Amino acid sequence: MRLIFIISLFLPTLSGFGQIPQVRQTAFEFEYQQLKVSRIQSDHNGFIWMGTQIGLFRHDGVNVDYIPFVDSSIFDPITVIHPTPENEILVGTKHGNLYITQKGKLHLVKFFLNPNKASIQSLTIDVQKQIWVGTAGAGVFVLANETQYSLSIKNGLPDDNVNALLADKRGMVWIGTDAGICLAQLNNNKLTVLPSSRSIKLKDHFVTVLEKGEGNSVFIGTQSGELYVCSDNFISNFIVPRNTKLNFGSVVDLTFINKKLWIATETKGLMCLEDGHLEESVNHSNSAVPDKIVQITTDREGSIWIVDKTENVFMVNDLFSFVHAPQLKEAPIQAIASDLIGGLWYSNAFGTYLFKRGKNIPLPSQLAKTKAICIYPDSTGNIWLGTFGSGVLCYNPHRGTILTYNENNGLANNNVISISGNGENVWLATFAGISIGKLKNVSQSNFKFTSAYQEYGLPENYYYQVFIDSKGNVWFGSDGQGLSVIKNGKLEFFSQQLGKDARIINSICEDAKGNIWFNSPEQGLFCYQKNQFKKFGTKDGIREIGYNSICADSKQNLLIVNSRGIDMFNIQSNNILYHDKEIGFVGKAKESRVSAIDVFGRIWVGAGKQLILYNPESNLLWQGPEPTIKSASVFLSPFEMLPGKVFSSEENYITFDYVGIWYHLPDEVNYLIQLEGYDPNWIKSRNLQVTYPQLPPGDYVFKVKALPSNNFRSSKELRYAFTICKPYYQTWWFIGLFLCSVFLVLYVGFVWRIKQLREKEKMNSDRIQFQFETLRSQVNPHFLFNSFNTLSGLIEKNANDAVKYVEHLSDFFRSILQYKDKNLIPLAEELAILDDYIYIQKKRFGEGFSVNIDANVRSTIGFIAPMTLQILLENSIKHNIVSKSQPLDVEIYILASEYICISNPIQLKSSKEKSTQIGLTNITSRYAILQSKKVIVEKNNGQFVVKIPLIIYDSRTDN
Amino acid sequence: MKSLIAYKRFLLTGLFFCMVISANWAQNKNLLELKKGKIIFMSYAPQEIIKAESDELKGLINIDNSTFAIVVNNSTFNGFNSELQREHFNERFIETEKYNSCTYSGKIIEKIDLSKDGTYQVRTRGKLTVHGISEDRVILVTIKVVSGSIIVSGKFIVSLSDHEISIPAIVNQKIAENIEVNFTALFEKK
Repeated sequence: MRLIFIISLFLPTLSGFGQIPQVRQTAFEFEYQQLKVSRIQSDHNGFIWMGTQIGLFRHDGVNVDYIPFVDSSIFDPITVIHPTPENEILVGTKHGNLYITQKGKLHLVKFFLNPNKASIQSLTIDVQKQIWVGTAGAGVFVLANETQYSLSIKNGLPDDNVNALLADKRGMVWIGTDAGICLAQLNNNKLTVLPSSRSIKLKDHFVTVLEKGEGNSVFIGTQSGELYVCSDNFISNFIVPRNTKLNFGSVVDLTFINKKLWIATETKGLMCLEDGHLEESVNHSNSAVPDKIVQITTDREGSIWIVDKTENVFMVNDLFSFVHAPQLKEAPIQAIASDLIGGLWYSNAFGTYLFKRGKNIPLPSQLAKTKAICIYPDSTGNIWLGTFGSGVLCYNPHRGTILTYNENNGLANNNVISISGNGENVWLATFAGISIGKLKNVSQSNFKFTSAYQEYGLPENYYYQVFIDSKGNVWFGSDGQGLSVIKNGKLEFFSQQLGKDARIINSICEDAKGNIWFNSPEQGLFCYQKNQFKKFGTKDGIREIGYNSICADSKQNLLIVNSRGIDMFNIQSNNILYHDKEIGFVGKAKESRVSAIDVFGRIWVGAGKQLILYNPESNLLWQGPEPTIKSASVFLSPFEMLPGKVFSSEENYITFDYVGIWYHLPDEVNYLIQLEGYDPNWIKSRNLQVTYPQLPPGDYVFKVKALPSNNFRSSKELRYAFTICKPYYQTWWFIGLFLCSVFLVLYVGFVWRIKQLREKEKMNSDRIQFQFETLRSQVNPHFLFNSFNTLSGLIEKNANDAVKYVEHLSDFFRSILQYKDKNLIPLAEELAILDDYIYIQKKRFGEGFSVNIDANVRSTIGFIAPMTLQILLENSIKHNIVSKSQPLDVEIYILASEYICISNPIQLKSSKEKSTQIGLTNITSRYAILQSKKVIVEKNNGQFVVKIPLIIYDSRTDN
Repeated sequence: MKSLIAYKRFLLTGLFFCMVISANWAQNKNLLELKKGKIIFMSYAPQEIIKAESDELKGLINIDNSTFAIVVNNSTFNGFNSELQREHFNERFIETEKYNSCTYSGKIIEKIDLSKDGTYQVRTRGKLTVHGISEDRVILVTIKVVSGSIIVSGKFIVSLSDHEISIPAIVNQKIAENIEVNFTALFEKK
């Protein structure tokens, strides 16, 4: 393969003016000590990552977060930081370890083996997400799907010291070693060095840096300070000639942003290569940029972050740069203009100066002494200088001639405030109207100015500016008559449209779209677009209304220079960004402010004693801060922000930590936050955290907008959707279940209550029936007949016994009456009734009937349903034969102190007494209601036994 | 803690040095040994110029894989402006008792044929260990080959802060931050 060296010429005319970009040194503190940062790298989210000996630090413009090693005792200097596509950070260390960020800690990468613990010098991740690790002395290790491959001198690597790795879009990895460069590939488990790539011949094989360029091109930096660009076909172009005496030592790092290649050098600081032109001025000798750089990286705003050998962090931005001109220390700038060959003309109260290629060019003394009020380089190369009181000077740099014209040459006035022109004429604004001069006649001795009053009828007045737009219209800004224009040879005034208050117009310019902008010191900024005027005042964000100087660039920016700083106005979005202290602007209210655009499209601003260069190419600020959620937590414990995450109803205390990454002016960032589904409107905030306690269930979207200032209308929005579930007691199935169970409980209770009521009713009716039955049985004619029969017998035999009998009978009836309403009575009382009854029956049957009450029955304490024993005894008399020949012996005894038993031999009557059959059933059911044990009825061995449960204690006896 | 690490580093460097020697003992025909050498360091401070030198350099070059190792004992430096200065150098700054030597070991970047006579400008890359602190350095060296014997000479700068040698503020004007080091060495086949 052929090797082509194309040496691009170092074009001195296009090189800089010795301007110095704004450099900020940033110090970070951790545990009251200044952080010693050894490596720096930005990630895809815009965070700046810094490597130290104790771990990784993440900077978001406002705060620094510490990501320690998982084992806090580790002391391992970080040598490489590499962001992964998954927004994790890979970290290689001096002691040969590979870490990855996980949950706020640095964890060792699994499956990575580095037997000799060779220091890791470079990392890259290819398109297949395979991790390539370049080491000092151990070649390259590749981690793919838990398998590790290794590449060394043995399998084709030029050298085992791997200084740089770079994965390209085609799946190949560029490897820069001490002995050359090569490309390698890991495909189908085969790690191969592309043989053709070894023929990329460099003058210096010691490759130190590889950086991605435009398309598939790759920049190569070497130890001896050479720079190459290598395209698809492996042809390397030598882009910085060695013979420029730059000798910046080793290329330490490269970064390519916004078509500019920034070069960090070992001993000579930072340089910038733009369109093949090396900007040496960023160099150490005249700026705060450190000499010995270790690493550089870029942020989204186009700033360069630098870590130097002394482990400090710097930030460089070349959007605005300053020119150090010693003359400016004397007096403020009065006029500024850029000529067609890249020279910058400026003047102050001591004279006029020309600045070119970082140097002041000596001017003829007459010119140098001229205190120019305005400067105009015309299309033929002449430089016009307008003065206070001395007319105008026309300098021809080629011939070195200086011509002076004043009122004698037809000039309206000797005070020339502004000069402009086109290919034919030069227009001069004076204190007494506008004068016009024909360029082709300039050097002729009879050169005369004509008056615009005579030609176009333009009134004689104080004019601040004459401006010729791209269409050839000539615009005039006057003191008293406002704005006027000569369009196609016709004069036009705008005093009606602009109103009385815009009588003074001091600055006019044209933007890239062809709109005319002009500044009124009383009213503010106006835009003339399609015959319409639009006004912009302080409420639109312009910081100050006054004698502001305005200048538009070829992009979308309009600079408004006022005493407080530079307001950068976006003509498309109408957003405004302010620049003042952060770029080093020092404004004073009474000082003059001028601005001019040069042939490269850059704007020069003279403000007081400062000469500032604005480079619109570097402007990445209009995109604004990027809102990012740093972490999110529920009840203060962080959770992973998966899209559409669902939380339970108790997880309703949600906190978001967010930041709008804006290194430019981090403290100025405003936030608009809204939780869709909770907040009805956007909420303005300056906090970096928001907490939503006790969120009700629902679907939410958390939204953040970050605005770099109060006057930024458009901004990026970050959205995160999540859901909080309804609690279980609000779910339909729970409510259904709950209703069912309530219904069930009510139903069961209802049923139970009905049953209880029925039982009660039944008991009452039973008792009434029982009472009735008892009464009826006792007063039934049989009983009475038998009793009275017995009584009449007794009266005959023994009057005393008869009296006793009647007493027992009356006792018996009284007892029936007395106990009829009771549920339970003591056993002793029942026995007393029984005794009366037995006495009555004994008198009737004599020896044919006997009742043997066991002795312990009387001594037993217990309760019994009233009349139970009496009815059972009556039953036995009723159903059995009672006679002398067949006596009925009834036994009453206590069984196991639980039952009182009444037993009689079965000797059934042949003729049954009429019975309701109710006695025994009634007893059984009454006991059932009393909820005691069951009444047991047994027939065995010719004995009929009824066992009545003895209720030992029952409160219901109180009834 | 720091000194312990430094000590470890020193041991490792020593070990590496021994390895270079022992590993190549067998094939010593491709090994060049330092026969005679001189190292001079100079400190150009505003108020004082200090110069010291040592002849007691030891070193080896392996032609097969272009590696080398050089060591000099700190106590062998002579020629200070006073004996007291020499004492200070050993005790306070270089701390000879803790770190008794300075080493430089690594490899030659450019592929050159050391068997051919001629003068070559080459870069060496290696670990320069001074005061127990190793720095990855690239040092430019001139190699002159004259009928088998090789004369190596070079010049480099040692930055005191890189090697954590701290200078008391009071002698700031007498000791330079960047020390210039010159060396010449004659290597011959063993």
